[in-house]
Amino acid sequence: MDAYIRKWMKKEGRSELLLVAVITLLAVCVRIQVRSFVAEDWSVYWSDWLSRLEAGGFAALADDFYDYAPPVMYILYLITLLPVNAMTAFKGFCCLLEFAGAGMIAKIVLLCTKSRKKACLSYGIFLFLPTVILNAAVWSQCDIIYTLLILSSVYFLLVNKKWTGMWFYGAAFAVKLQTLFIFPFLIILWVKRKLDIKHFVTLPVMYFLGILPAWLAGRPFRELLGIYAFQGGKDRWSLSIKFPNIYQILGNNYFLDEYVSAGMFLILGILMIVLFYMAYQEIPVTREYVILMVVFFGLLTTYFLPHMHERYLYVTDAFLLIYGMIRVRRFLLFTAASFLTVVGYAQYLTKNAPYVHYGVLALIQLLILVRIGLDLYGLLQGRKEERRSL
Amino acid sequence: MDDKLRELLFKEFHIKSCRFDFLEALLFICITGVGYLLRTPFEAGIPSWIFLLAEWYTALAAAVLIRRATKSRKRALGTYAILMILPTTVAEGTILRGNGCVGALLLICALLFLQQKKRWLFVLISALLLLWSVKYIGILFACMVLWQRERLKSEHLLVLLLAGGARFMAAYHAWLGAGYTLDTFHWFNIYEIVGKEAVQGQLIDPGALVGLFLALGGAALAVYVCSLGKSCETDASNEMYACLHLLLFFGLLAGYLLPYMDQSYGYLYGILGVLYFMLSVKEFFVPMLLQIVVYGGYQECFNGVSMMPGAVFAAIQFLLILWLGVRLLQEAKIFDLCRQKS
Repeated sequence: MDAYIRKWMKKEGRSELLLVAVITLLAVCVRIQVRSFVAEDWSVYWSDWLSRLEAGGFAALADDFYDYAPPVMYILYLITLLPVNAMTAFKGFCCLLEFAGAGMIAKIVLLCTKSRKKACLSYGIFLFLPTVILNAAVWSQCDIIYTLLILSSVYFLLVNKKWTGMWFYGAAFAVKLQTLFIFPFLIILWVKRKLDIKHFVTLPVMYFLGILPAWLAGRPFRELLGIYAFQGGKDRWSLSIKFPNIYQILGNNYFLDEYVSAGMFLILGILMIVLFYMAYQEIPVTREYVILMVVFFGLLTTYFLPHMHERYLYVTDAFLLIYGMIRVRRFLLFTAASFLTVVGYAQYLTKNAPYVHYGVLALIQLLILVRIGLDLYGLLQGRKEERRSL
Repeated sequence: MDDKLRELLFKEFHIKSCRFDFLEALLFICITGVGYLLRTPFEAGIPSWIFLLAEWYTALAAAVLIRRATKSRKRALGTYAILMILPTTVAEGTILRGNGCVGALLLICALLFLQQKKRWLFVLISALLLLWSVKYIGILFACMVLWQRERLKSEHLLVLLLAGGARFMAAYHAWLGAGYTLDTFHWFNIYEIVGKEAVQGQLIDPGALVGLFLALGGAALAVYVCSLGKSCETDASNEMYACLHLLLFFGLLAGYLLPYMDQSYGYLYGILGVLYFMLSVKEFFVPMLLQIVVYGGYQECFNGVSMMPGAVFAAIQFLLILWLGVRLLQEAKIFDLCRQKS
């Protein structure tokens, strides 16, 4: 028996298969166990939206009670049609996407490293990230939806399927505004001839397709166009909502209105300078470069933008995991980043202030951003040196 | 169409003796616009054009300085771009309506003259700054080292010593009678660590007085140590780098110990930090951390409270001064000298 098992295990891919099976099973178990937790967001917002949709049906989408992008509301509407508990159904749906997201991460890691072991490992790590477990299964949030779409987008861009990649990116934009955090990497891809302007048409098209059903249901078109602008003006009570960024160092409770615009203009200026520098670097666009750009822009924009929530590094964490798998020495950065964000989650869910000052977390976050920035700079300069020596 | 647009981005244009890429011009225009917009949220109407003009001209002069030092158009543009959106410039000029940018502009003009070997003009502007405020005292110590390295003549130094001495005496008398309740006003220095409440009801405030002489004595000692080494500036870039390094180190060192300084003390060094970074890209963390420390002071000034304890910012600044000092000694080969002697 022992010999048989060992022989079976020694065959190529078997141990990885076993790992994936065990991890999947455990990941399902933990999600089932925590499913009954009712977060404040659910009791205050989601359940209200669901009851309105249940009462009014699809036509209820004409009202302005929701400030999420309409595609999320369509999912909620579909859930009202199911004969199961709405919260369980919503959490279940998001958890399913988490498995798909983990699979997509594994696919990207396999593509970049050619290592099946690393791919399996990244699949397992993503599913067991505290923030991933807490996000959907506990908090009933749906950040996995746009994260999965962005992961798919980057995957297809990496394999040079430009249109598919951009359709996915457009779909992600139709679901969440946070998709724009990493948008500058697409501009660099355009400068480097990896994308054309025509590919960017996917963003307005997908956004339009996303709001079309709500428009047909009766909600004014102008209101639907401005739904993201409305979202941006909602959290004006603090410049950083449990998110470790610059406002946690300098102050997040003053100049609330002024810093909203100033913060946006500041990051716009910073991005202009960074893009200007990167546009002039004549280096080949490798897969590592693309992943690094996504991580860098994800960290940079959220560090300076006001009103960031603790959940807004979800997508960046996923790409940081991929980067940690490509460059194993940087795995520590991923570990640090995921623990930084979990502090905000814990505060939201437990209502207890963390033991560590957010300013300290923000300084650590700054270190991570600097390290990633230096990696990017090293990649750009290193390639330049290589070419000079040739 | 895409290729044409990409070609246009990197296409070089010539207007008389001026050469630039389209992308460079685009950044120049856009960042100027962003710099303007960045100042609008803090104003009821349009931003004050006097401050805006002074800050714009400071950024432009700094870009010229870097262009001449490095011969790089892109670095010059980078300097201009960063200075246009530097948070401390917005805080000082737009929010506080302070005159920090005038001092910074004057010093950058002085450095431009020094770069062109017009030493008397450099000295006169520096003397003007020294007479204007004690917060420019670091310039005097930096000039002492420049004199030792034969970049300045004795008569130049004499003028600066007179100007600095006169301002210092005036400030000394004013401070003693002022009865300040605090030793520092939103400027995160040593007093944020040892305690910033001034001693009241006595003839003197021992903390402030000791700090004052510590600043002078410490800077004088540092000047002596620096003068033991060799100067190794071979070209314009190195010369300006060394000059900025000295200004940063002595300015921050003096400010770290001087009592009764306020948040605007750091304004000049925030700008000099950016210029320093443009000449030594690897030391990017100097302006970055300096910006956080200085802006932290401005935030405390606006809000009355600091998000993080002032001691944290003071410790960060101390580490920065330490780093700049060690680098200064390394560049002057003082450590090599010590090893040889031992």
